[in-house]
Amino acid sequence: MDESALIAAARQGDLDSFNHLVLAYQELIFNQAYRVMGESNAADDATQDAFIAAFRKLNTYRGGSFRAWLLRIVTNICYDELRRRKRHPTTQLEPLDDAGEEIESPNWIADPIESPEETAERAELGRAIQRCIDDLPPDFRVVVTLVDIQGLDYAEVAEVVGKPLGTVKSRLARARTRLRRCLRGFWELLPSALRLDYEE
Amino acid sequence: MKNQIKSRDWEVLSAYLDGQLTTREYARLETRLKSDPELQSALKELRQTRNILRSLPKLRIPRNFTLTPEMLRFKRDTTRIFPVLRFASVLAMILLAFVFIGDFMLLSAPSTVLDMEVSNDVYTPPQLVEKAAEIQEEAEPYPGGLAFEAPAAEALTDETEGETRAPVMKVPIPTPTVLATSAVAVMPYPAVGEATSPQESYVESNTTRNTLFRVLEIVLAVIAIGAGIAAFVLRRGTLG
Repeated sequence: MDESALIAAARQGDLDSFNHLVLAYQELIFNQAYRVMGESNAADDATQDAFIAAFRKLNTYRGGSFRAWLLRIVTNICYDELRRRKRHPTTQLEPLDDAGEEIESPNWIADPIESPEETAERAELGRAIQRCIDDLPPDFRVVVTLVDIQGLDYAEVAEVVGKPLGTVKSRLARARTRLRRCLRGFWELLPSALRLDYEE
Repeated sequence: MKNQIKSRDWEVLSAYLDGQLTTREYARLETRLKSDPELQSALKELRQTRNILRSLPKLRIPRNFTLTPEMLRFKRDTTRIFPVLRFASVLAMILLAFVFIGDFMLLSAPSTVLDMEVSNDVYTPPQLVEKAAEIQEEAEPYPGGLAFEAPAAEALTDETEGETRAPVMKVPIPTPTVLATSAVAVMPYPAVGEATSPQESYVESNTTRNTLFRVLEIVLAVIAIGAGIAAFVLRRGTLG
């Protein structure tokens, strides 16, 4: 069954057809949510909510890139959550366990998604990069992750964020220049191949 | 040195990396790059940044996000309640505003009349009766003791009308207030506290109306605030 047939069936209320679409896109949507939210629990919630919202609003899908449509939904959910967190910050900077002791590696710093091997190899650099991404304003963060991490073209990104191409170009350039400055602080973490490139 | 590169240049370099320049822009940038080492360095750093981002591994998903009918039912229920609560809150607020306006309008106009009537009743016995007595004494030489009742007494004393007219006009009138109040004092008004008083029944109906307004205002305010808070909490996802 191709994508359009699955979408048509899902529009008629066929949940199994929609779940085929979920399986096809869940990694993309989760990764996007993770890069925007900066932590896996929030990404998990945003991904689930995005698929529920997508199923309920499937009749508003007017064709075009289904991937872009899904990404737009999850991006809006992430924006909502970021706004909510800004209004009601709840995470402690120094989390404490039940005994009142400070937790050295709380779950929002550790990355439970990666395997121990991957964590050993990439955790530090990955966290450094994610920290730089987190420092970006949400609008820049969304665009740079869509282009440089998810590999979307400008037109598709414009569709996702609902802005003209010029805005996408501008936000992307500003995000990249900010990241360039931020990543300089983590120069020693870069793999040798990437570091040599920087030194040239 | 890097600061000399303008933001517009960064934008062009970024688009250049992604092959998003027009042929003309591309040719112009190529020419500049050949002669500008700073621009070359900036391009290299930007490319490097992009490569680092691209080197990020795809994260493995923690679980499948396939939907179940239960998930949809719960979400649908909560999302249906939200607009109902929001509408109820707005409607109650609008009704409350109308009730406030109506309350204010109905109470303000009749209350003036009521105050007058009530004040006449209340203040007549101690002060105005004395004043009325004084005025009555002054009016003794003239036939017809109700000289000061001039306008009010006309309707009440038809038989004395012819004789009292002339003296009444000659008597110096102290003040309009005294005239009015003395008239009230002398007139055979029903005593305060009588069960059949029209003022009392008016006050009674006003009290009932005021009570109804207060109750209505409280109920509407509670609905408006309660539904508003419930909708807000639901929207923020802190319920369920």
